[in-house]
Amino acid sequence: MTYQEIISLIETKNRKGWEELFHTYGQKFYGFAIKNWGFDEDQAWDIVYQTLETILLKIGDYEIQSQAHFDNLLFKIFTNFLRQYYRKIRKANTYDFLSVEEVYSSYSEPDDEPSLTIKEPFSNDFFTDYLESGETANEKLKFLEDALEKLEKQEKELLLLKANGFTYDQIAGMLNIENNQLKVKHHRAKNKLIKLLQA
Amino acid sequence: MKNEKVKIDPIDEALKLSALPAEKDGLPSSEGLTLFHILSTEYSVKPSEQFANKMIEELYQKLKVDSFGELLTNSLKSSNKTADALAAESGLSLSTIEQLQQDRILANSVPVMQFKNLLKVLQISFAGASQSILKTFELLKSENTISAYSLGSTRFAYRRKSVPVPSSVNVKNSLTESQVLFQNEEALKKYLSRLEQLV
Repeated sequence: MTYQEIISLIETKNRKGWEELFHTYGQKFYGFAIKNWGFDEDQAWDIVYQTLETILLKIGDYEIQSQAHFDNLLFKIFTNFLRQYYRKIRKANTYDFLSVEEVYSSYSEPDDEPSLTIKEPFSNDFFTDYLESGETANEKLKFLEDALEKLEKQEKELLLLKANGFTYDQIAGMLNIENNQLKVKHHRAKNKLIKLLQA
Repeated sequence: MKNEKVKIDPIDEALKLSALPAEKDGLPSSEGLTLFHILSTEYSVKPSEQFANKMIEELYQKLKVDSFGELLTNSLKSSNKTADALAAESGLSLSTIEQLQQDRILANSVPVMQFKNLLKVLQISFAGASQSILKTFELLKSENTISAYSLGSTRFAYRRKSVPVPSSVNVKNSLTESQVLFQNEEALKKYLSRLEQLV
């Protein structure tokens, strides 16, 4: 079903619009929230419910010009709720952050230099403050994004997708590459990134 | 997410958040996490049919109703009354009626006696009105959610449909401080309870 058809069904208050939205988007959002971000079923229900509710309420207000436009709006609404709920659960849990040395040693190769301190470390306090702020732009993340830009496109995508909970098999499919050696490639990319963060 | 101490790789954590769509970027991005990645993945966790039906039904029952603005506009049409005439009969200002029609304010921003008059003039039942008022509440709430979580910055990519604003509505000052103050769920429920006693 096209985005125009979905919007038209929603605007005429046809239940099929609700069903289509849930089956095409809602159930995937549910799977992603649980499998990739570690939410429990109740939390995933809330995230999907609020995402779909906001879409259903607001979709008629926007001039949607294409399928990509429609998809991106839905994606933004979903990730906003994902971020919002992530902030809530982080408040309720205790986290133990690995040190840079621990991260580095798990990704470095035997002949690498011993770990150095990274220039802009990401601490528990940083994540708490960042999520509390509700802002998406941040100086430390910008430093990370600048370092990412220095990597090959594939290395960058590999790191971002792996950090978002996708398996090597899934990433191989998304990037249309062989899974063979993907884990090694990921370790090398991570190692490269850590070195850039030390610069 | 279980309440237990979780070991976190701070760099993966930063990458995970950095992969989400950024506030500055209102257009679809081909890098980082995209809707394509989420939709193209088969998740081992899927919502049951019962779960799907429950969510669809709850959202449908909640959102299929007209907003109060739609109800008011339709009632004016079916009773062949103008907003001016309604203003004179109910004791409300024309500007307030137009703001109600556009779902810019909640019913409890209006003195309850005058609101009762408005329902009486248009022969709107309390049951019908209260459902619609709750829908408008959800609309206004979602407006706040969207602006609070950065969709406001995607205005260029998602222009709102242009809705003609009557000259009597001062857009800049249409929401006074007191109106915003009353736009919370608790205040609305108290207002509806009082309205029910009066009609």
